Amino acid sequence: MSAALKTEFLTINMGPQHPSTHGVIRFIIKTDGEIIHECDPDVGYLHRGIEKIAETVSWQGFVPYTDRIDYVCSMNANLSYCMAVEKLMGLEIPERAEYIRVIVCELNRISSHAIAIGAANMDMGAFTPFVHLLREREHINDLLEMICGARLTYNYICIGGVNYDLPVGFRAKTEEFLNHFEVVVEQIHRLISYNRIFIKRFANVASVSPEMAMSYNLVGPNLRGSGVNFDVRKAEPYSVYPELDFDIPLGDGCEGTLGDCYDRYMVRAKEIKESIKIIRQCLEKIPEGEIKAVVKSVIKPPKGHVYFRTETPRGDTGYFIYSDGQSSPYRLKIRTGSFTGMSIIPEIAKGVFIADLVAIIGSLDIVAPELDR
Amino acid sequence: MNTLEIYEQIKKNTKAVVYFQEEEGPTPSIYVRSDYLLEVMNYLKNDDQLFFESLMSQTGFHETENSKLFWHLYFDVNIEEDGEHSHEELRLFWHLYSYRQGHRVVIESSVPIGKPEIASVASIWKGADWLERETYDLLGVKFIGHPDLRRIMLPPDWEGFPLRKDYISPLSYQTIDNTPSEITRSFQEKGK
Repeated sequence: MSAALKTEFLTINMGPQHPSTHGVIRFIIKTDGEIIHECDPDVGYLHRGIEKIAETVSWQGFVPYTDRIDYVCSMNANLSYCMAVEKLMGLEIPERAEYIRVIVCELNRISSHAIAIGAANMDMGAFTPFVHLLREREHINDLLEMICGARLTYNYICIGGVNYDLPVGFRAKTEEFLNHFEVVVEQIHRLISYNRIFIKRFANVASVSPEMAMSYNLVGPNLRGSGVNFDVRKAEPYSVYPELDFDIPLGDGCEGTLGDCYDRYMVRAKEIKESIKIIRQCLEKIPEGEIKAVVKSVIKPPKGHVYFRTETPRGDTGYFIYSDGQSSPYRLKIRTGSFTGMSIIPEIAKGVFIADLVAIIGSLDIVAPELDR
Repeated sequence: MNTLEIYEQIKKNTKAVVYFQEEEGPTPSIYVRSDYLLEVMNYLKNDDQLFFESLMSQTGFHETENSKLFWHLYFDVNIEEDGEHSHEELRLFWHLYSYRQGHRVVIESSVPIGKPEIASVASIWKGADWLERETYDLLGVKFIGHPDLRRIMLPPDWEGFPLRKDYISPLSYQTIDNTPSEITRSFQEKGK
């Protein structure tokens, strides 16, 4: 009887409308009971052809589209694109504009990491931290609304500087928020980061060795979670980052193996504190002056190509731009952190529980529109 | 090391046909003839001084102009296949970064549009797998030796490669009607 018993892999479908896949992502999973034997991510559900659209709009006209590439951290997406074009044009930016850019980007980084941490917790079944962090994010949205009038897709950073100056009372409000938020970060740590159940759930899951992380080209917190000391803000400094004092948190395998889900989570949690430090220094140092360089209404950068990357919350976002000297880009390619983060999943998801796949997605902080563009 | 030094290293230690390209924009690049790509990439990855552990980005674009920079290079290679001597080509870019050495380099190559085939580097960098799939999907470059070359962004039965300059968006896909509305058409006519 037992000799006739046959076993086979069961292929199941997860997504694209699964609540814990962080957007419209689909996985085709071959399972052996509870264990994943093979996992094939099926992406592209949110492909809007932004790279093709770029070839038809003007250089300034593409800035609002960059908001839609990554709506969780639009400021950072604006910045990457604008700095790439500025490098192509060889444009100098007023110092005040550089400081404002860093302030808004770091505020946006905090809100993005808050969502990443909250969502990772929610995927693990802890709903409370997510709601708490969403409430804190509202404060940041209020601050950014003060600056530019929008709460999610800002279109604030433009080629040549920023669109509006800081409003009256911004500094006081930001400092008030930072003082308040520092306490909240500690509360969140007490509530969840050092929670035994949460650690057990995240530690030792899907470890990524440093060599593997570099080969798969993981970027940002995912790379630093594997212990690789690399941050674009330090390694290839841009804007005013060389004048600021901040540390780069690294994963150290404190609760399990190096490069596991918990390391990636903790890197994000620690980065929030560094961002707070950066904003404090910027508010201290920001000079008076112009906020925008003189830019013609029709930009025609010289012929040539550039690859420029900046550190966004989901790792470095690289813009490859080829200009043929016309009023719109000839080719624009966006290399995002989520894309490479997703490409490692088939390898690290082998042999883990289906429930842990959700932990992996949460810890890699994948945002679907950025992945598909 | 800067790009010029890396170029000299490649020139010294491999037999590949390479050119140093400086005039194009703020970043210099190294042009590699397409049939030597794998040799050069292997060298860049494994050499102890260069040691490029990661492929930051892989991309390309469709060059429609007759501003052939290097067409004479592959012209003698593909002269039989490329009977019409179409001057269109796909220019491809690889951006490499070394974490240990802290330097970066841009490798450039091109393939004729009639025969868009080039060696895959997925065996050298694992991250190249998806990057090449994207380039294949949107530009139609066939990477020889890629483990799993299929469409990634678009559905498997999609026709054409959207990022080529001669691409015309289809009027329908399966049961979905995509004919432009009256308003869209009025804009298109205005544009002309």
